[in-house]
Amino acid sequence: MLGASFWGGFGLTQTNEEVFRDYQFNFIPPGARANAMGGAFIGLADDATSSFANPAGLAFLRETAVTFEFRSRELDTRIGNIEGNFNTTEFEQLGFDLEGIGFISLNFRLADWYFGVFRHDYLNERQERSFKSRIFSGGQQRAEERDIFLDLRGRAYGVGVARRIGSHWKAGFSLNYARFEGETSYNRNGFVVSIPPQRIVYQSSIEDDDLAWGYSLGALHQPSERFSWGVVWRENPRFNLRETVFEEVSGEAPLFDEVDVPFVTPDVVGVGGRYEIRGRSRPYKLNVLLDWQKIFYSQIIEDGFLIILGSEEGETKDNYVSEDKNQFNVGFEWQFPGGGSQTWAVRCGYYRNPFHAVSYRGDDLAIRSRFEGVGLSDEDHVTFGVGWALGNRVQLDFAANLWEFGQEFTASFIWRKK
Amino acid sequence: MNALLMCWLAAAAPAQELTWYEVYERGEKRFEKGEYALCLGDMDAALGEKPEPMRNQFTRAMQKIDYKPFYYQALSHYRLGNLDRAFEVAQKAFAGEVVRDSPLLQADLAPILAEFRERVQQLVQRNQAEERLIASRTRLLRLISEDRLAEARDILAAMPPEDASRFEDIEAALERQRVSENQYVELVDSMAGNIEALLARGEPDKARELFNAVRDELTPARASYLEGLVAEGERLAAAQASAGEPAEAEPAPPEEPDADEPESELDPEDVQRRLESFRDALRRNESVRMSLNDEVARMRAENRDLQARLAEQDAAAPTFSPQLFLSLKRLDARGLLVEGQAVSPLLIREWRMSLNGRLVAVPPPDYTQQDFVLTLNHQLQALDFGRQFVSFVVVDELGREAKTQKVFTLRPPWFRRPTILGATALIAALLLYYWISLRALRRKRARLRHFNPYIAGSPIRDNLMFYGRDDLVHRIQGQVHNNSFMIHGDRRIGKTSLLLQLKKNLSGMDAERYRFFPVFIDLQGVEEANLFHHMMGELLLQAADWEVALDGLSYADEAESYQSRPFSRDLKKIIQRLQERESRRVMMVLLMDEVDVLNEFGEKTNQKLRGVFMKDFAEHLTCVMAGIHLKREWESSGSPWYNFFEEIPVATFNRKNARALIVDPVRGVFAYKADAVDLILNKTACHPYLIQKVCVSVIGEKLKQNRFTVTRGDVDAALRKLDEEQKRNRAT
Repeated sequence: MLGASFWGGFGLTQTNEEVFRDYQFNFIPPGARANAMGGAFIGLADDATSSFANPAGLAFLRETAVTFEFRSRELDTRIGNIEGNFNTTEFEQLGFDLEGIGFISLNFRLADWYFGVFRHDYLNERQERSFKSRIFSGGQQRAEERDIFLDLRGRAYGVGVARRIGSHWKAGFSLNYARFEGETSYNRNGFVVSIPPQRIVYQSSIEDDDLAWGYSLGALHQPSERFSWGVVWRENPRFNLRETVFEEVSGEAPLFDEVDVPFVTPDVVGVGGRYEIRGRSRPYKLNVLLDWQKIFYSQIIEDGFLIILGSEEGETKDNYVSEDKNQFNVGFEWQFPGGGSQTWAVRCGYYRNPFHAVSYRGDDLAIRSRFEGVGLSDEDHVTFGVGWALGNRVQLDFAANLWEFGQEFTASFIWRKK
Repeated sequence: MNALLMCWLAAAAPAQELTWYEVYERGEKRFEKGEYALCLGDMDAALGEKPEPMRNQFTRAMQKIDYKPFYYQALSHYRLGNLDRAFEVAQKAFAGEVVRDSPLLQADLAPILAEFRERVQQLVQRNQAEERLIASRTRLLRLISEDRLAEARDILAAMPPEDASRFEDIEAALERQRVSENQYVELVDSMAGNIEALLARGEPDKARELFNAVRDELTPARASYLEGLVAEGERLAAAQASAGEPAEAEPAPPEEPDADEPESELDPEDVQRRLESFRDALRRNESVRMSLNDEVARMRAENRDLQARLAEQDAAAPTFSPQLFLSLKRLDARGLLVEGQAVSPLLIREWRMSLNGRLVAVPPPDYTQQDFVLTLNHQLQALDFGRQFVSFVVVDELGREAKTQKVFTLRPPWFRRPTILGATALIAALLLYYWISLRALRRKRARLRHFNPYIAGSPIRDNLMFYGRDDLVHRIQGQVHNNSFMIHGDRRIGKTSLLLQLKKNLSGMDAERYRFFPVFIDLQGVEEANLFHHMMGELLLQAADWEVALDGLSYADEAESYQSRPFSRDLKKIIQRLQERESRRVMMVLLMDEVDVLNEFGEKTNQKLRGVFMKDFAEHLTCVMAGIHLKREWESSGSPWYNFFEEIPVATFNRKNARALIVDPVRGVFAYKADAVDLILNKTACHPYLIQKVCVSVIGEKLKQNRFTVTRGDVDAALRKLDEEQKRNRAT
């Protein structure tokens, strides 16, 4: 009886977030330039990536322009131990490399309307993680192993339009149609040291895709040549994926089920400012940028959070909490002329990507162990990069984004019809 | 939401305004397309926002432009055929840093300048010709007004045919004058003929009347001639009247100046009529003359107008004047790099630069007749900081001068700014005041306390008064854990002071591997039988500070029985107990003074003492002995202390250390004159005891005198006093 009750908490509950929870969203805009400045771009947004960062910035782009971005990400293998109140968890996340074209954009102008047509791979993530937990409670020992595999790809096709309003204001809107492909597997094997020993096998997998709409709305105010500030609202797409679930507990009939699980990318509101310092005796320009973004991670719980299988009485959605987070991005860009028509830029930046995973506030030790044993925390990102432009027609930017468990390198190419 | 946004965007769409650089870039494109009029509009609009041409103007993203609106304006005006405006703007373009630094852009503008120069030169030539003509007219009119008509006619005749049309009015006036004069001459001649006819008819009264009427209009010669004729006629008539007969013979008329004068029969009415006609003719002639004068006056006025117009034309063409640009950059503290540039359609004949009104010698620029731009680069050195007035003046081939002046303020380096200098002076003054006050206070205290820090006789225990042996102390401290030392030297040379200094230093030394426990043992006056008892007594006395248990020792009051064996046992126990509580190796250092007494002890005692250092605890024991000398030859074959010590002689100070011993202890209170110090050094041979003895005496005397500077005389007096003292001591 005790064993059954024990297993009840241990096995018969799973949330959709349990699979995705170790996925760390990264709301840094595309483009090596923005990347190198720590993603602080809302108050500047003067290139094609403004379709994402702040669509109002599209109204800067009077010339037809083409933009490509190549991105390479390397995640390091992470191994660690997490000590909880009543449990210990070992986890391992395998490193992997990803690379590809992350952003393509064509920008053009029709009369006083500024357009950007773009493709943005906003999500390209693969993870393999394994956890081993041992829980001591009530004189009994429980152990479980969890292996999680994620391969998530999100690609948005969009069009942005912007317009100038008077001499100081710009407003823009971008609409994107996103396709999300998810391939996941979640295997949990556990046993309770009892007589007789009890085992549980839980497996779930997703191999599905979905389409959804999202949009961004932005405004940019430039009261003087030196200062500008912008505000943006990003309504991100919400997807539904079909998950197949299998569970077998010792001595009981196996369970099969298929459920729809949501994959929620939280909405974001952001405000950013830019202040420009110019050289007096020597020509240079220093952009100082600061962005604040509020990321509505609480939507992960609010919008379709699901406890997939039956659980003990009292195991409700209220036990799961995800708080909205603030993210600050700060960046610097120093531009100076090279020989002839060349321009060089040196950039650096910093941002902290807040840890956002769902936390568990219920009493079930087993569930708590899963939500404690996440192995993630706030990520401090340090970024830097260089840019080179020739004759205002060609621009190349490179950026490096370094954090404790990985690094990302981005290269952008921009061609403008002059 | 989306729909709302779109509505907002579409509805709230007032006229969009471009930034200055967007307008400028549009103008560039329009220029490339040949839409010059539109380009001009764009450049004007851009200039409204950004009036200064500049290189490397950052725009958006990573784009920059070389902002040169005047360049495009000049070329646009030129291509639209507006050369004057093109040149005017080209001058501004040259003054901007973009064109100024670019030979290629300058080459683009060169045709404007070349064409304009050609045109200006043509204008200049035309103006000069015009000025010449006006001058000629002025001269002619002056001659006419002065009635020098013949000269005027000669000049007019010499005029080149191409200029003739410019003098037609004057020529016509002269012709009218000539005709009038001819008519006048004819009239006068006619009247003279009439007078002669009247005289011939014997009517001298009528002839006189007629003569009187026209006399003023006749030439003097003719008047005189006619006057003679009339007078002769009157004389004859009078003679006839008095004779009642007519004259015998008609007087022969004088030679007739005008033989062609027709003879005529004149009746009085006819004469009267002719007289009236003559008077009319005179009036007409006068009228012609008056009108000619008026005409001349009018023409002179016109001439003045022409001159004025010419001057106005020059003044109304500012673009003809050279345009100047002057930039100043600071090179160093007082150095200025001056770059002057003059753009002129005409050849620049002269240039000069001045700093604060003083002409500066500028090396000749690379400038030829074909150049439109004259550039001077020169480094100026200002005489002082502050506002610098730099002037740049050029004079073109027409003698027109253009001048520009710029003011540059050379701020002194921060350390020369008045505030910093003032603050520094204040701090220095405060420090000086503090130093003076402190010295005065020290002297006052010194006087009150009879401050005399020199020690003559007693060993030095105060670190501050320990001079001249630092090298020695460091050498011993660095080796004492491995070696024992024998310090030997004259009496009062400072051996005891050195041992006491070692004791102090070793006690507080924080060595990595050793913990030192120094024990100072003075052997003066110790009897041989009591040697070990005395040594242990001294050791135990100082061991009280070591916080070590001293129970269970063999040390007792009976000195005789306490010899080397119990001494060694006790010493071993103490060292063991110290080692038990120390992680580092315990090193007991026996600092033995006045070891000369050992010379008087038996060889056995010496051997026993040495034996102590050979025991199993010897690795924890070492010693530094001090004395005048330790005997080397003993009764047996060798010295018990053979090869036991490293011997270090202690000599007098070198001059540097001796000088420090004199000066430093009283620094800030007493000051020694250099010759006073030298005298002390020479007289004492740098012996520390003697130095201190002299100094004690000198300072004692100065305290009595309430003086704080030690002179050679003071030292002399002290030396004499000491010498007398010594003599008295010897005598007693």
